[in-house]
Amino acid sequence: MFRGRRSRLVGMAYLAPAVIFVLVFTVYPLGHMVWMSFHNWSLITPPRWVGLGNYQRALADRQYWVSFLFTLKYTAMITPILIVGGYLLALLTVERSPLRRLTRTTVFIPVVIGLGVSSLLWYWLFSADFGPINKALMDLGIISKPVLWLGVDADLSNLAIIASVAWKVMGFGMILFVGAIQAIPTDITEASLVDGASFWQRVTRVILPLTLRSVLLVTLVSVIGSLLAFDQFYIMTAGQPQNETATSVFYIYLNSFPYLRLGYGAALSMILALTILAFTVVQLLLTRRSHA
Amino acid sequence: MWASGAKIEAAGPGDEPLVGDGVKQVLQFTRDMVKAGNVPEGARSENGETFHLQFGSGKVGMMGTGNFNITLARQQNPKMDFGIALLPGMAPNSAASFIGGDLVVVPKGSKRVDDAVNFMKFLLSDQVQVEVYAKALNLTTRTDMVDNKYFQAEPLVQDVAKALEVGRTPYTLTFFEQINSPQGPWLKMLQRAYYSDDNLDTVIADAKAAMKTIANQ
Repeated sequence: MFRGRRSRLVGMAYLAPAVIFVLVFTVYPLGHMVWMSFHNWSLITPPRWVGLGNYQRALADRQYWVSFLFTLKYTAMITPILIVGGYLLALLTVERSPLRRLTRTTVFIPVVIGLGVSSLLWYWLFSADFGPINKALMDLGIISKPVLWLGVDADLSNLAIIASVAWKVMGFGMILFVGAIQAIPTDITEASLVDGASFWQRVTRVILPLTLRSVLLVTLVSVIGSLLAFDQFYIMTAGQPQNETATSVFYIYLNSFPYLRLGYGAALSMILALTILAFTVVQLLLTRRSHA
Repeated sequence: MWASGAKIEAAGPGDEPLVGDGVKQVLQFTRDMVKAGNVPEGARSENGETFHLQFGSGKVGMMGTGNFNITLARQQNPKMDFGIALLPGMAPNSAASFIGGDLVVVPKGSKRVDDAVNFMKFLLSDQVQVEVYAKALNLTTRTDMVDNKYFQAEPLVQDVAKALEVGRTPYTLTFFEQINSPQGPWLKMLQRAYYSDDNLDTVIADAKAAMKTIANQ
């Protein structure tokens, strides 16, 4: 009995740093955010209890729902591009050869630079007056005058930002897919070759089903990341034109900090967090079903 | 708009924003500039990152900016001969300027008011005004400190310092939400005025209503 109690204490001691980390950096901030959402608080005045007032305000806040719907649209558009693009790149570079390793590295490099830096870079690339994209298109005769990629037309701005984010992020999915594909036992793929399966038959009937968990994982990460999109829209369009490209997090940021409405920002954050939680639960259920 | 006698922001609840003929006059003037092709197309998608580069193109007569840009403009365009003028109003010889960006405030309920006031006095002292602000070619807060050795060595900054006499600082707790916010009514008003054919009275009325709502919160 003494040994059992002692080994439990030792186990808890090993767990303690991780538990403390989670308590300090996750549980406490989350709890504080929930508390803030029930108050009006501008930082320069004491917090004032308002109960569900912030949530009622959020339900009637037209701009928040415009931003939320735009965020969903952005997520729905970029996620398939990242998954399909990342998977195709993985299929292209999965073999263990120097050239393919070099290609994988080259595609992965943008993943390690910050999204803010990437957004600034692409802002310059898309610049109507100074960017090389318009210059190249005009030199090739594809366009006759510079295109205003950002901040003028919402759909065009969205497409431009999707292109920039896909360039930056697709390598992450590719690396995860490469790992999953390389983990498939070679006798399975050899057996399919012996059976006369074509490349696409091997991909659709063997490789894809056996890497479905990775696909679902990358989908989950992409969806969460896209629902939390902020940097690229803040830097590249500032929500223009007329707030049509302002995402949920952009609106939450404005309310929380420049507008000094921390309580309201916290309530908006809670609504977004619960939405992401709902997506995650659906994702986990799908993963469990695929495993079964 | 200030130089044309207009008032812009709503100072607080019940205050009226965008008052004066200068508001519509300036919007009409700038709308006409856009329609006449006197504004680069790229300005529509400008977020501030590249607007200073237009100045170096040689096709821009005037760039509205602050004294912080003097050194930058000179570095980027070493062969360009440029000067400083105050932002003009509609009437001849009218001018105004925006002073600020950095605020020193004592929050209500502060328990260290005396310390805060002492710090403010330190910032406004002769030595700090000259040896910190003026030395870095930042405008001094005190107009009586404008005549200093650093500004004397830099004539362009002396011209900028004239803005202190006609400059204003907006006074409202909701300045960011009314004016600076990328989702705010001020930017919406300017965009509608410049890039649409919406009736300017309607554009101004809509912005006014939105700014009043913000100020009344």
